[in-house]
Amino acid sequence: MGIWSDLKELFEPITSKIEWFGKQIQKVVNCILLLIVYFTGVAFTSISAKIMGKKFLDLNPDRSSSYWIEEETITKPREEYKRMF
Amino acid sequence: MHVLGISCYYHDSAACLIKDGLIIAAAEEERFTRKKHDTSFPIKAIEYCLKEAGITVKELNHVAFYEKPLVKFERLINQHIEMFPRSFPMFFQAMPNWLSEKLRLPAVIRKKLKYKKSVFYIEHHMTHAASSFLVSPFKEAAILTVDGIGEWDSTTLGYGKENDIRIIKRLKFPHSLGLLYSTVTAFLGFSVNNSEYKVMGLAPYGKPNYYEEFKKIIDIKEDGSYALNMDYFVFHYKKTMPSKKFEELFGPARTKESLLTQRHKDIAASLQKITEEVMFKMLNHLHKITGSDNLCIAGGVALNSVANGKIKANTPFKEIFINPAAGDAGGSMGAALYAYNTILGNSRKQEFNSPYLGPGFSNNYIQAFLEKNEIIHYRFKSDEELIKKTAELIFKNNVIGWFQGRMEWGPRALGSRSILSNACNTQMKDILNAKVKHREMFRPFAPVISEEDALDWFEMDKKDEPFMLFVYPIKEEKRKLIPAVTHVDGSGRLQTINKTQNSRYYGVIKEFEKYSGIPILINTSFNIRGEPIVCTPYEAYKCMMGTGIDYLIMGDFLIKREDNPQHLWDSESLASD
Repeated sequence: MGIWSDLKELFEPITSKIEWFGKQIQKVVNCILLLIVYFTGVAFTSISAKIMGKKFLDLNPDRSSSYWIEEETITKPREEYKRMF
Repeated sequence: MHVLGISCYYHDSAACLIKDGLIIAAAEEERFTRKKHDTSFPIKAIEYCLKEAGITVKELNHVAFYEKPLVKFERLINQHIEMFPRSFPMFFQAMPNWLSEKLRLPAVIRKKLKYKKSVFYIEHHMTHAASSFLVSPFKEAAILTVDGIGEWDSTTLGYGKENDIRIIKRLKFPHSLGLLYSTVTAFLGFSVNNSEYKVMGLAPYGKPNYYEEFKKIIDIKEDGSYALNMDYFVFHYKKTMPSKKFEELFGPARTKESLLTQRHKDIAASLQKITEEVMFKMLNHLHKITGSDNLCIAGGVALNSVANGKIKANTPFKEIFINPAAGDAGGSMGAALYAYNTILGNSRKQEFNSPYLGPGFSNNYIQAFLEKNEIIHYRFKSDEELIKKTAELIFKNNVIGWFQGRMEWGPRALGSRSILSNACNTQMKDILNAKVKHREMFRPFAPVISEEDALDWFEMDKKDEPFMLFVYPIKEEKRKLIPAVTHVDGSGRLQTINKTQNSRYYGVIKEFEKYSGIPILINTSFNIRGEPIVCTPYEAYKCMMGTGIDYLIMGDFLIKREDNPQHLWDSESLASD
């Protein structure tokens, strides 16, 4: 155990630099992946929705009547609460 | 049965532990990490709750979380799809955190807590409703929840009976009274989710001259439902909140720390008027559909104590209850209570009667701290001596750091972690603002009064308001007697206290009355601006030594700032929001 911790200490400057480098690579990869997801998945859905006239946010609700949404929430069976949705 | 409630990841992370339906402990994470409105997983608050209950994670029967993460994520994705491509910066910033932590909540809980049983996920506004109703004194009540945003809901109307809650109507994102208030907060140069109460405090300095402008940006129906004109807002796709059109309507936005002009004050006043109009219309509609004279309110907007103080005059409701942690921190309590009472079908065990749910420190602990750090101090020999000396010091216009018992739950200091001083002194407000709290000069200080005297001093219809959630007018003939706590419009956000609730705190007020003839003190939170309220003896001592607080009364001990010059430091440069 003593030798192992000595070795760890010896290589610590190198391992911490490798870890830092790995985190930078992760950031770059995340950036690229997010760009791809946004400009393909989100873009495609958005453009399709606009063509079909589907709204994902009700930015301009009908002003002629009450804005209240009559949607009830009542106590559900226990298992329903174990879901994140 | 032990149930742990958790709220986190948006603002004001917190934890609450109940045992067999009784609240054992609750605290906000910020008090432990010293990061104001800390959003991170509240591991320290949880550790405290478990320690207070004398249990480990193994003894936890259930964990309850204050929202449905996937439903919230659905709303976010909907925002990005609707607002493509303008939402890209927000998408880029928010997604990594969602993917790495928020959507992996079961794994996070397993890893950080070592808890392997199932977790209940409860709708955000339902946890707000529960945090108020399930500990209220009412068997049945109408329930209003209003905040910035939960998953989709920003406002709900509901009804509670026994241990059941039903949400009946709702308003959804992006139409949010809370986000409107936050937008104006940002526009006025204050920080969002932190300084909305400053805008409320600024309002009495202005006139509602911008009321008509506000009617352009929010359409309010007679039943209290409303919709924002989204041309004036950008929060649905940007981190900033008001749009350019908002500035065209109201003038340029105020930069942080710059001079507050009459225009800013008038905007604040107009916002407060609009908020009250919406609230009262909603409440009147709620009363009509539920038929209940009892009202529970929750959500961040429930902290608008000015509006709260006017509810009875403007609606048919006769009794009102609000949890002191009405915002997102309270969601942890609501989640735990909803799980225990409603999901698991247990009857309600407790009314909320004490806000002192956080950590306390014994006299032995305090003494060890003082001796270890070679802090000159004096130990009182009795409660009577402590009370008498404290009252005398306050009467002589000293500023007292008051650190007693268990820390309060919620954003207000209520006599455990308070700064106390003389409400009769005309200079005291300026002294406290400039030398101790380093905060804006327009901000008022709040009074604490002995319960039996409240009706003699305030225009109110009931004598007990222990949680500082209601602003009432001070009786006109009394205002000149307590100038330091009388706001510019003659009002005060009071706390009433009786002997059973907090005997030392009550005792100091009554002893002060013997000196001055007035049973009222200034009570403000024990912290410097930008920091959370102090939690530990070290933080209390540090706060005193960095500010103009003259004495610290901590447990049975008195510490005088001047006696310990070696620990002096200047907090003013660090004071910021």
